[in-house]
Amino acid sequence: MSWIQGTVTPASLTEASQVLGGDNGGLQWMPRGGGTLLGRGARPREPVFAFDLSKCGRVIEHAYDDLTVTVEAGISMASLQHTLAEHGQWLPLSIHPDPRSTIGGWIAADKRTPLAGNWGSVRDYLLGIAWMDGRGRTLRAGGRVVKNVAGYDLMKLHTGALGELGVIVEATFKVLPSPAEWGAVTVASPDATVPRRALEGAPQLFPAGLWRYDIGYGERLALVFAGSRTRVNAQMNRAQVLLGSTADTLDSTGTLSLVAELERGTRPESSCVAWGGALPEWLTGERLGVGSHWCVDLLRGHFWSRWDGDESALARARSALRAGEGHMHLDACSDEPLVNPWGWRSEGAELLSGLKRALDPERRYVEGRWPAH
Amino acid sequence: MIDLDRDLERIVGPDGIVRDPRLRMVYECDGYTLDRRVPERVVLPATIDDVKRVMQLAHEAGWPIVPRGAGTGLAGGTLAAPGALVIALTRLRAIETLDPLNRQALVQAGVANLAISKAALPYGLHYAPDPSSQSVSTLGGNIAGNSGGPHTLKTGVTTNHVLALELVTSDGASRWLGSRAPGLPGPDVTGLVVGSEGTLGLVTRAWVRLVPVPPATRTLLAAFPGVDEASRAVSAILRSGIVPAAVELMDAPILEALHAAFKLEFPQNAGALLLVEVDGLEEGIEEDAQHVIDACRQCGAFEIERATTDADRRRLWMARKKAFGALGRLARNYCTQDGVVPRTKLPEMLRFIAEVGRDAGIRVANVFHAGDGNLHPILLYDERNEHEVQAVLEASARILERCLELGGSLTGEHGIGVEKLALMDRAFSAESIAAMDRVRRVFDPNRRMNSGKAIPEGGGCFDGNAGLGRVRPGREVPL
Repeated sequence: MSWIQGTVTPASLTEASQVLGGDNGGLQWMPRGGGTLLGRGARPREPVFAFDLSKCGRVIEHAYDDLTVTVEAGISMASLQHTLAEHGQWLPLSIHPDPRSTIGGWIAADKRTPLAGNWGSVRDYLLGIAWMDGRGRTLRAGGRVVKNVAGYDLMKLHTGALGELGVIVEATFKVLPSPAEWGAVTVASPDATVPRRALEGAPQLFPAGLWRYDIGYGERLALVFAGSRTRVNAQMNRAQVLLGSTADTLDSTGTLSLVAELERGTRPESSCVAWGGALPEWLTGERLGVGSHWCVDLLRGHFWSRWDGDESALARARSALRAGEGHMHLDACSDEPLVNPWGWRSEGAELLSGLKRALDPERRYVEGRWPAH
Repeated sequence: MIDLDRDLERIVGPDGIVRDPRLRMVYECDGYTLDRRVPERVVLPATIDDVKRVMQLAHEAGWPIVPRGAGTGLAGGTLAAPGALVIALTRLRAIETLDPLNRQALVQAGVANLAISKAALPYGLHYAPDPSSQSVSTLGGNIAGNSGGPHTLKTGVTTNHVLALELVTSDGASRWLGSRAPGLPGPDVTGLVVGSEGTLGLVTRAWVRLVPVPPATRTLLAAFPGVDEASRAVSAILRSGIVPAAVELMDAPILEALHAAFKLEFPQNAGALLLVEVDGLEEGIEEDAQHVIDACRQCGAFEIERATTDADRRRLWMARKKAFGALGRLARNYCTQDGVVPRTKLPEMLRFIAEVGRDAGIRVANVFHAGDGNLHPILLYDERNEHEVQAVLEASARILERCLELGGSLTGEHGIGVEKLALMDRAFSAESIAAMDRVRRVFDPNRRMNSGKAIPEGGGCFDGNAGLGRVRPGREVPL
């Protein structure tokens, strides 16, 4: 690729520090995890050297009785989930991650899946991080305990920063007990009143997902539940009443397959992915209209859709989203970033530039990937 | 010559400025009373536009700014710097929008935390963070401190519930950060501002997330022989695979104070009580409660009371909620600490706290968020006795340093303020603190926003804090 001049893959964090502290010929570093979201963000201003942390992926401490885990950032999400599962726990960000996807990349890209509607995103679980600055020095923010307000939450700034502020080398998360049971009730092409009723008129429903989606078989609505068998069964019964006699039910296996399928749709594998957010109530009745496969989270208002390359459809969707206070962006399906993936410019451009200067004063890390530039 | 004080009055009106020195004494401290300083200027703007104009005027005058809410902070975060203008936002009391369909509300900074939940209740919703001061503490103060509370074990703290906020920086400029819609790209600057203790700017209003009120709750009060057994039960409960809504621990001195003050009765020989609440759907809640009961019994609980009605629940919570009010029966003054340890270290840490109390010759009571590992050792003293004051300060430092040694934090929800500033270099490296200071100066190049709080100035080496409070344990406050 033209914009990545080469790749350095340190074997340890000690080596990573030494490399960063040395001379790289004036090129900027671009932190790289599994490389699954290199197509997110705008094209960097200058050619870069990729700084690949995939060999730095140890579990430093899984304090399972404290419901926390500390890992090196190069660990894959899949591997982390496997470690947690040994003690009946999980990080509720992903059911079926791309095997290459790393924790550092997940944070840097603020990667989200349909699970974010109920469980939130990586920022909600990130207790602390360590990162290396442009000289290879390790800096820290947050900590390893579940409650901590000492110092600025600089881990929040690294979330979504696409590696512009430094390379994340370590992260601590709070984790949760895994749900014992999953279940879902789905129905074809409901009108907009159905999801509204699910949110307003059914206080006995606490869905783990409320999704409109089309994954190739027509539009459907799914109410997904997770938790103890008793609670899942009770809610499934209520959801069936709400969705009517044409509703289908899915057991644990079927529900996890559906979640995995929807999660797969968030990855820019065979086509670009349009993603973003809007007010959930607005999304109950609107169609994104940029591609055939899509999923809308009606709990918080995330959405994802394949984008088939129709620029005018994209422009219409972005324009329509303004009514729902929304925003839509594109992830490229190759490692080559798009020229204008954001379609939106942060009003805080000057502020973001200042933060970049504050944390990377020598401009050793990649620049130009944010919507502010 | 421009009379800036006259200009200030023109903006906020004569009743928006506190001139009487006796009334200004109200603003000499917050809930942390070891350090005090009467501010020279206090204003109470009534509109967001007035806040911006006051900030612009302060910018022209070069006045340091001290933001203030209800003054319930416990780390001296509202202590006034010399020459500072205290801007109290308690008059910004409007809930501008309540949007039950999107489960969001636009709330001004001076609205009390509990008022948000009360407004949302008719829609079956509430605002989840619930600091113990929630009936008076304001949303603005909660955002500055990233406040938690007893029920945040399950639902998270303030940062998990703030979607967007309006920030007025020291130059008087205002901007919205964040979005009502999720997933805004770029660094999460909203998350940075939450918990920054008013050092990055003044938050005037925010969009917050509302969540459904759980339809069913079970509250249990378990009596243990001592804190060791009770704190071991905390890990046992979490190991059972459920996440309770709250797990609160009270030790023997607290029970003694509650009995003396309110005649509350507790099981005989109870050395500690654990208050545990589980919530969710009615279906399954008995299973959760039984998990808690089993875990408590395995760890030595000899009596467990459970609430079956709302009245029962309020009665069981009464001890927890009245605990701080009861302490006046034991001592003239008290200082509440706020360290955090991993939950599994609670037994070890509580033994250490008792040892520190014995060494210092002061009584220490404990009532705290055990489920979060968030300790609140309460050091009892008489402020007229300088020897006791010194002992409290030194004991506090020992306790917090031990929290760090055990892998914990200096503060779980009260903030650094002026109180713990001198310990920041124990928690973070000089490079990390310097990075935080550079971030601060992006928002406030001249460090006029709440200077001397939260982050040591001068790139990591502690070099004093704008003439405020203590530099090391001891009293150096211009009273």
